[in-house]
This record gives sequence, C-alpha cells and structure tokens, in this order.
Amino acid sequence: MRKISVFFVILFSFTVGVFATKVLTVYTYSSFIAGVGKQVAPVFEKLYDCKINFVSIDSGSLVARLILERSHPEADVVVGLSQSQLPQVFKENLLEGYKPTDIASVVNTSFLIDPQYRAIPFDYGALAIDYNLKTVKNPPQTFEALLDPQYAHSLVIEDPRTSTTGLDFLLWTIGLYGNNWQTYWRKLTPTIKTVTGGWDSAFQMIEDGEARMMVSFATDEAYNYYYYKGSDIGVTIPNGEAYVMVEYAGIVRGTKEYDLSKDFINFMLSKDFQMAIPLNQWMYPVTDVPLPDVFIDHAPKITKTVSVSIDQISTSLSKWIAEWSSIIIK
Amino acid sequence: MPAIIFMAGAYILPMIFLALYTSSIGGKLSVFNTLNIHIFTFTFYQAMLSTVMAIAIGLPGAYLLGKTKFKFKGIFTALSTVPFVMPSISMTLGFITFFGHSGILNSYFLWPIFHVRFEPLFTLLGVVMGNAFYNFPLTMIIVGAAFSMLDPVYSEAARIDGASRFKSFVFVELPILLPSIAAAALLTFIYCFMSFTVVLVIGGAQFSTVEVQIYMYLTTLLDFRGALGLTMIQLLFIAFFASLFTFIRRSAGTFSQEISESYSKFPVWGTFYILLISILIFGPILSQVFSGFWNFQNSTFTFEWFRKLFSGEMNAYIGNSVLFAIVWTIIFSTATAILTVVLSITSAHIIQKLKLPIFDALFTSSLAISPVTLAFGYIVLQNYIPLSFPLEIIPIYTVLSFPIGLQTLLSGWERFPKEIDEAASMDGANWLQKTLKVRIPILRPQIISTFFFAFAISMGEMGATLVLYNPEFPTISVSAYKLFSSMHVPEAQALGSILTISTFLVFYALERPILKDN
Repeated sequence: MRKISVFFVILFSFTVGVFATKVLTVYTYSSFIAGVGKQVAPVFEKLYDCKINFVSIDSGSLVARLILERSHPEADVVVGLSQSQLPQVFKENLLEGYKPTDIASVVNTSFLIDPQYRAIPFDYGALAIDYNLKTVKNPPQTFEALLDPQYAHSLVIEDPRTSTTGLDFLLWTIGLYGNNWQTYWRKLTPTIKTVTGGWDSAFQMIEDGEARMMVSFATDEAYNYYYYKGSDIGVTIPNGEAYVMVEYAGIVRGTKEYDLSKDFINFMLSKDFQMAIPLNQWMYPVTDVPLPDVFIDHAPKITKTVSVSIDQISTSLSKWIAEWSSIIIK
Repeated sequence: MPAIIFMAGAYILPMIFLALYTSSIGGKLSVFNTLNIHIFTFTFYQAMLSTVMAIAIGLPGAYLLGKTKFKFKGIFTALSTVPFVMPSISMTLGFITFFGHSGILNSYFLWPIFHVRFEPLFTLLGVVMGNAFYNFPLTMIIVGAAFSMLDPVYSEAARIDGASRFKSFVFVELPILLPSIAAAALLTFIYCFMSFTVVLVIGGAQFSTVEVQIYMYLTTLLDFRGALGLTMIQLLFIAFFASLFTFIRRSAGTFSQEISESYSKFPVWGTFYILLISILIFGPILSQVFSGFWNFQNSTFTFEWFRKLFSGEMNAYIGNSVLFAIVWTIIFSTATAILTVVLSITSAHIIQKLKLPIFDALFTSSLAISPVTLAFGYIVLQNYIPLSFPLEIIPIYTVLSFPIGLQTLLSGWERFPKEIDEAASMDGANWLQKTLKVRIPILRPQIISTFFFAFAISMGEMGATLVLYNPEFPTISVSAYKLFSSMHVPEAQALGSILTISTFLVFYALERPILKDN
C-alpha cells in the first residue's frame, strides 16, 4: 500500500513538474462551450499560459451542482447564471466577490446588482413572442392585445417550474402588472395553447406549424436571417418593454485558482470576448462594442426594459410559482 | 445475495448521502399543500387510466406474440418496443407530427376522407394514450413470454368439457397468466405514475405529475428538502402498491408446468389488432423516423441532415462526435443489459426459492425514485468517493432496469418446472451444468426480454445522464437533446431517426429467439 502511494506521489510530482500549466475549470452550459468558449479560449490560454477546462453542465442543474459540491468545489469559475438564480446563489454563499478592473465599461449599470461584485454580467438578451409569419398577419403589439380572441389557443409558453424561459416570462408579467399579474394570467389562459416543459419542445411546435406563437427570444429572427438568409418567424416585444435576461459569471468560493479566475472575469469584459457574444450567444454584449449587421437589421432594439428586483425574487419566487400553478393546473 | 449488495451500493448509498446532506440544511418541509395534494391525486388517476389502457392494448398483442405465428411477427414485436426507448423529445415530435392539428393523421386521412379531426394532444385522453403508447410493450413482452410457456392441455381439457373459447380463457388461461399480468401491470402503473416528459409534452403543464414538482424543487427552487420529502411520500406510496401486487400474485398461486411449444391459429381479430396498432403506435414512430429525412421548409426528401450530422459541423454542439455517441451508447447499454440480466436471474431465483416477496416489493419500488434525484445523490457521493461519469452511469442504468428484469424473471421462475430441475440434479448435474443446460434454456424468453428492456432503458435514459454528463463519453439521447436545444432541430431529428432505427434493428435481431421455432 505504502509503495503504491509513494509511486503515485512520485508520478504526480513528475506530471506536475512537466506540465506546470495551470488549469482553470469553468462550469457552463454546452452551447457556451461550443460558441464563445471555443472562439476565445485559445486567446485566454495564450495570454495567461494556462488551460481552460470547460465542464458542460445542464443549466437546470448548474446551481444545484455548485451547492452539492460546496464542500469539495470542482469549479473555479461558473458562467451562465441567470438573475432568477442569483438570490439562491447569494444565499448559499457560493461565489467569491471580485470587482473587475474594467467594470466601468458595462454600459447598463442596472445590471450590476451586487455591491460585493460576486456576480458579473457578461451578456444579456430579451424575451419576445415569436410568431409564424404565415399564420399571424398582425402580431400582438401589447400584452392586452394577446388576450384578443383572434389569438385564442395559439400561444405556447414554457413551464416556469422546469424552464428558465418560462420562469422569465412569468417574471416579465409580474414586472409589468405588479400585484395584478394573477388577474392577467387568468385572462391569458384562453390564449395559451399549451405549456411545455422546456423551450425546445415549444420551438419544435412553432417549427412544424403546430403552434402560431411562442415565448422565445428577441434575436430569433436575426438568427434565422444569419443562418438561412430568411425567416418564417417574426418577433414582437409586446408593450415595447422588454424583460431583459442578464447572464452572470462568478468565481466559485473555495477555488484554488483565485488569481487566474480573476483574470478570466476581467477577460470576459474585454473586447475580444464581448465581440464574440452576438453571433455565438445570440445575446447582446454588455460593453460598448459594435454589433453585427444582422443584429442592426433584424433584432429589435431594446430601449425600455422591465425588471423584477432580486430581493423580490428572493422572497417571493416559490410563492409566485405556486400561485401560477394553481391558475394553470385546474 | 448480489442484488442486495448492488442495490445497497448503487442505490441506497447515494440516496442516504443525499438525505444526510439535505438534513444538514435547515428549513421547514413545505410539501403538504393543496396544490401538491391535487397533483398527487391527478398523478394517481392518470396512472390508473393509463395502466388499464396499456394492458388492454398489450394483452391481445401478448397472445399473438406468444401463441401464434404470423407474417412480419418479428418486425411487429421489434417496432412495438421502440416507443420504450425513444428519447422523449423525439417522441414529442412523432406524436405531434402524427396526431397534431395539422399532423399526418388529420391532414392526409381523417380530414380529406371523413371531414373530422382527431386531436388528442393537450387533453387527458392524449396523456393516457401517450402513457399507454410508451408502456404497452411491457404487457406484450412479459405476458407474451408467459403465453408462449402456456400449455394448451388445460384449455383443451376445458373445451372438451364444453367450455366456450372465451370461458376457457377467462377461467383457465387467465388465472395461469395472472402472475405475469400482475407483474406487467405493476411496472406499467409505476412508470405511468412517474411519467414526466410524456405528460408534459402531450398534455401540457395542466396535467403535470408529482415528478414535475420534484424536478421543480430540485432545479428551480433548489429546495432539496422539498424534493426529498415529496420523493419519500412517492416512495412509500409505490412501495405500498408494490406490496399489494406481490400479495395478489402470491394468492393467485403458482403454476409449475411442462413447457409447451404449441401454436394456435392466427385469429381473425388479429389482423384488425395489428392494423389498429400500426396506426396508433407505429404512426408516431414512423413519422419520427421520417422527419429525419424530410425538409419541412420546402417539403422534400433529403439526406442533408444526416450529412450535417456526420460531417463534424454538429460536434461543437454535442461536445463530441456523433460516432462516439453511438459507440458509447451501445457500450453503456450492453454493459447495463448484461449486469441486469445476471442480477435479475440470481435474485429472482432466490426470492422465489426462499419465498421472500418483501424483497420483490422493495426492489420494485426503487423505481419510485426518479433518475434525476438519484443522479443528485451521486453528485453528493462524488464528494467522498472518486467516481465519475462513465463509471457511475452503468450502475445508475442498472438500478433503473433492475425492477423490470426482476419482475420478468420472477414471472418466469414462478412457472419454472421444478421437476426438470430436480431430475437434472438426480442425474448428477452440478450447479453450473443445471444453470447452463436447463435453467437458461428454459428461461430464455424472460432473459431475452430482460436484456431487451435494460438495453432499451439505457439507450433512452436522459434525466440522470444529463445531470452527470461528461461530453467525453457522449450518449445519443443527450446529444439529440443538445442539438434540439441549440436550435438544430433537423439534425436532432436525424439523430432521433438513427436511435429509432438502430433500436429497431437491435430488437429485431434479439427478439427472434423469443419467438423460438424450436
């Protein structure tokens, strides 16, 4: 037994000696790795003489994983937390605070929700209603218009219990209607065709013509123009007041690579990184970098926004979901 | 007993770790509210309806499978088992493209010919149909295997005594088949009770089950206590149900008998049955396969999606190459199937021999813990034991497959002709000889069914796989999910088609020996 452990110690020190490169373990969702990650990782690795080890975690279980691993953290940095997840992340004290040197480059200061800088915004998007251009001739321009009988049984939404898109849509209506959101939802039920478990099944239904409208993202049309040179779906942001989904990154408490993690957080606000956001993430960069043409031509400009404060989410989320469930589940 | 050791290590240990972890967090348990009670009641209700429907669809099939010969029997059996493995997202599309408002059934048959539409989607009927569609193969295969062992002398005797065909079925054959029907019904009930995606996709959130609530506590609210609390209630309930079924089976008695190799004439209703199943069950499967070859944009046949899938363009989204996904899926599934078969044969034999029905109920109710919850248990376990993705996934798949294997083999051992075993012992056969020469050949239909199901469950599993996933060891179902969620719907369809076709081929090759022709 002893011999074996001695052997391993020698082997280990040998390995470390030869490959002295530091490794930064980043937990994130798979499309981030495939897009931005693939594009900018080499830049960072060269700049800081290290390796990035991206670990793909389904966004549904990302925070749960951090909580369950808290005593033995595997990750150094986590990328892709949504604002609805932050209350839990802060409550569980999962992240280390760090103020990036370039924090002033973040254009929209309302994204900086944490005075301790535990969560740093790196991109944002907006929810929208996607509609089939063939079957919906005059898309709803307001949330009240969505209640019109002409849209009866045509909107697919996602379940806030199982889908972040669904949760964000619920928060959008709460942001707009305040305490009256339940009244609005009761009136909205005739418009809803079905509530899917996730964004993907809803997207399928609009793709194959089963549904006429769905809750999705503002950049969907631009995406179609970019990849297919045309689009059979249009997007509308009712009321013109977008619910903005900000994505955050943070340093995992207990990391052994704190300095490298700080470098990575700084790097996320750099021009290289931010320029890679639009065409990979189909989100908007948080700093002032030029947008690609397809965004200018086919994505709605987000001017007015609606939000729900993180404190409110923290205290009321489970109550809201329960109330939502009792409206939808009869 | 190897099964106890295995289940203790692979199933109970991670759950204990999760429970310990959960109890270390403070907070109150808040699962008893009107909403959860309502959802619980509905879950039970839809599971009952679905079980009845699945058995009603499965029984005639079991008869045809076990007792008759017909053209395309192999294809029929293999195809009907495919729903069991279809990744739920593929199944969604199959169901929608077939039964949807503008689906194949309505647009090309019902509306043009009869001017009616049949729209089961987003209704209770749809949910029940979906569950039955998923689970009727359990009845068909498990009861079918029992039918094939049914000796015709009993019913012939009854017929000679003047009983009608129907009467002889109800009073003579049905009681003999009861253990296998009970086994199939129990499994079907548990699966329908645990139904997650089928219900969400076909019915929508208004029909959601307890599992959806558990998933919400785990991922959205991160309330592990809530999740575990609800899981425990579910577990107790299922355990109660499983014991009830075991009791029913005990009291039905066991029939040890000669092995028969007889076949009946193919009945007239058989043709109608096969036709109906072909429409209801194979419709969605075929439209799913078809969609991998179809360009919905300009309605043309195409290999483009397959080309893209294998060209490497999609690798970034999957995190690896599709070929690896296929290879690893086959490796995981085969390993799981072998492990499940070995565990099931031995433990079913011991349970049967030592009369330990309590273990039967206990093991079967392990199905009441969802793959996702189990995977969370493994994450906690990883903190203390060096475990990682490919190593832990086979035990997880085996935990998920074991109850089916156990039920299938129990129903085999219960009717195992002990005389043959004893005769072999008297002739001086040792344990190994008996096992290889007598037991395995006699139990072959059950062994192959078990292999079948374990293989299928591993191929289609996504809940646990997604939580613990490591793209270095990709699987087909998770790859399809990743393609779907990165908006590569056509390529995901193509991958779904591959899964469906390859499952079909594996089953087709495998189940030939079930329909043994001596």
